[in-house]
Amino acid sequence: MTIDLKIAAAINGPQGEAKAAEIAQIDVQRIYIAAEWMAKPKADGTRPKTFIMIEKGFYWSNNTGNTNAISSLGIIVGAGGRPGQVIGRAGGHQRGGLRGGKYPRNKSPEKLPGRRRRALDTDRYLISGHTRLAHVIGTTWVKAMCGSQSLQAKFDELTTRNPHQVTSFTKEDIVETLKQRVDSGGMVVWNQDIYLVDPIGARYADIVFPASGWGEETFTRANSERRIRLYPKFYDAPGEAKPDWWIIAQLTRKMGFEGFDWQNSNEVLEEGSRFSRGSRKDFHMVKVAAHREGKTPHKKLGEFGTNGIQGPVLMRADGSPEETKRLHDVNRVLPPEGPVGGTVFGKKLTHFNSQTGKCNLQKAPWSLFSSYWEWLKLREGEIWMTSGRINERWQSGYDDRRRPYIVQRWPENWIELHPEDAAVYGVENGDYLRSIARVGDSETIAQSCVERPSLTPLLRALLCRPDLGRTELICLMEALFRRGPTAA
Amino acid sequence: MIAAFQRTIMQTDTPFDAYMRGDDCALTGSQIRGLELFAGKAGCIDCHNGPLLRDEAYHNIGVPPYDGWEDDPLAQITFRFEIFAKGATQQMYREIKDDPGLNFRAKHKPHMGKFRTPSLRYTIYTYPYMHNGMLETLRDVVEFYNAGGGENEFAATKSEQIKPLGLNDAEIDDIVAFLETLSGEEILIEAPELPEMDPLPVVQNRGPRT
Repeated sequence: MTIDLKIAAAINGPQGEAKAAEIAQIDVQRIYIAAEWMAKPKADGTRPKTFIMIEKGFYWSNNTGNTNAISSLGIIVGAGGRPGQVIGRAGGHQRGGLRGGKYPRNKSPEKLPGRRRRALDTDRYLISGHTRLAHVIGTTWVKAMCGSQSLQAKFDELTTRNPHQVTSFTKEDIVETLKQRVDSGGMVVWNQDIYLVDPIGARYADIVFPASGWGEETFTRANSERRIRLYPKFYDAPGEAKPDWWIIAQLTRKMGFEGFDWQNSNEVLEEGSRFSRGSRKDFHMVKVAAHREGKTPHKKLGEFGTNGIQGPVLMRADGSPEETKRLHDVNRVLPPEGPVGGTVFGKKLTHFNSQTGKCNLQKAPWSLFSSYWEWLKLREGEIWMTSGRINERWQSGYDDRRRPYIVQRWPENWIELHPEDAAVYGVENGDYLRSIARVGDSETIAQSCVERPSLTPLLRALLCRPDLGRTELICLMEALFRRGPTAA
Repeated sequence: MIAAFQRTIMQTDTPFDAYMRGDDCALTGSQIRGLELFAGKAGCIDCHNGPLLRDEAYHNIGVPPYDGWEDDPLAQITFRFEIFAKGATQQMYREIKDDPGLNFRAKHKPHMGKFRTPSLRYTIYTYPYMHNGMLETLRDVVEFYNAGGGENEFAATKSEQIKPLGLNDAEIDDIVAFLETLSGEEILIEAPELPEMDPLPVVQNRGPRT
């Protein structure tokens, strides 16, 4: 552990651990105990198997120093790339798909000095009033982002409050009206989703493309273990709902693009497979193997059954596929003949993804974050609300209101309060409360550009706009809850 | 797009292709003997097989480093820069004397000094030979293999398939004669007329049209 403490001392000064204990509001001895659990060699000289799980909100705080520090700690204790030892974040994410095509960056209207352009920020582009046609696929958009009130206001302005509203059932009239709306500076919205989403589909969409969902079309995806497998169709899509690829193919052909003449989802997979090369879900070699055997990739993937095949899939010289059990495996021995045929090796398979393949331990000095921490203190009478999570509720809650199970189980918002906090306010279990927040709108923080990553200049420049937010909640009281910061 | 272009320049006008298509007169006696050695005693076909005469795999056959890296200052600087730019540890950057090849890809030690088997098609036009151009003629190449390859600093990864072949001068001549049948008319592409290079148009952020 001397190494760790030396590093801590080098980063935060000789009082590193004492300072850390003060910040974390724990006894300094507990840091030593944790360090021993994580890294003290056992009697026989072996190291304990340490693995580190990070709550994903941890790195949503935009404090990359914290993320850096815990990554470094993970590396020092040998977590990652070994059996029984991982470092990862808890909380799922949208990891199953294959990366789409690249945006034409050089056509982005956001210009930087020289020839560079910034990728289009669709929110800001729309808020600036430039979007004429929005094709929204499977996202709540308006409700999903910070600063969504200004986004919603602009949506209203460009669509429902534009004078050119459809009042006729005649196709020609509808088309003419929508063209007039676009020409007048308004916007036409297409929404493609598996059910009607409010407001993007229910209020703003001029055309709704009903899309089929999981199980309503044979398709391929990967789970978070990178197991690429076939999900056969077992159910008919309701009404006129069609798979996304079919809708896209119809639109693109109608718009005059070539090469979208797929007949089924296997053909989409065939075309997409080579774009997976080198990625963590590289399954291109499965297609190569399938074609050698005179099969389709769907047929071949079906043979791997429920467990599928773990990407990236390499191919050996004899043509047999090789799965990747651990994405970063320090003990892995790669085929000596190298990446045969179309196989791609990345250094991430056995090494760090740095220039040299070696780990770069970086400093994460507390001073970069300390001003924010100093500012972020409970003030008199404050209760902080974080985005409370329950098992049944997913992310932004986009899908929850249409699920009777969740609606019945959690009919109202709630706030978790420690009894002592509750006593201060004179509230009890089941009371209706109203919380008022004085600071909000974090959108401006993300977009700001300051010389040093510190909060103070942000506040000075009033980029962090104080705002009001109100929420109605039901009180849930329990002694296990923390005082002060709470979940709601 | 590059692949689509490459498909337009496929050419199979070589004597070898004609022979494989059934024209027995396409190869001379020496060339046919060379083919038999290629596929037999010399064992070339172990790696140079398939339509492109390559196995699409990586091997270290012991090609020695380019001597300019030792005695030509400019070449040495370039070599050092390439090692640095492709990602090497400090120690490797300072001490390595040869191109680690495939090792750059996955940073995997067993891949040190390995290079992908090249195709032998139209190879009379691709001199000098080997990944670093250390051999001048096809005859040099065959003699190199006949001697059991060479030596470089990656002895640990040298392929076991590379052994002294025991070919005599006449047999070497035959193999060289055969290798020459793998090339047809030189593939030369006329440079197309390219459009003028223009700066990107400035896209204006226009407000709503009124």
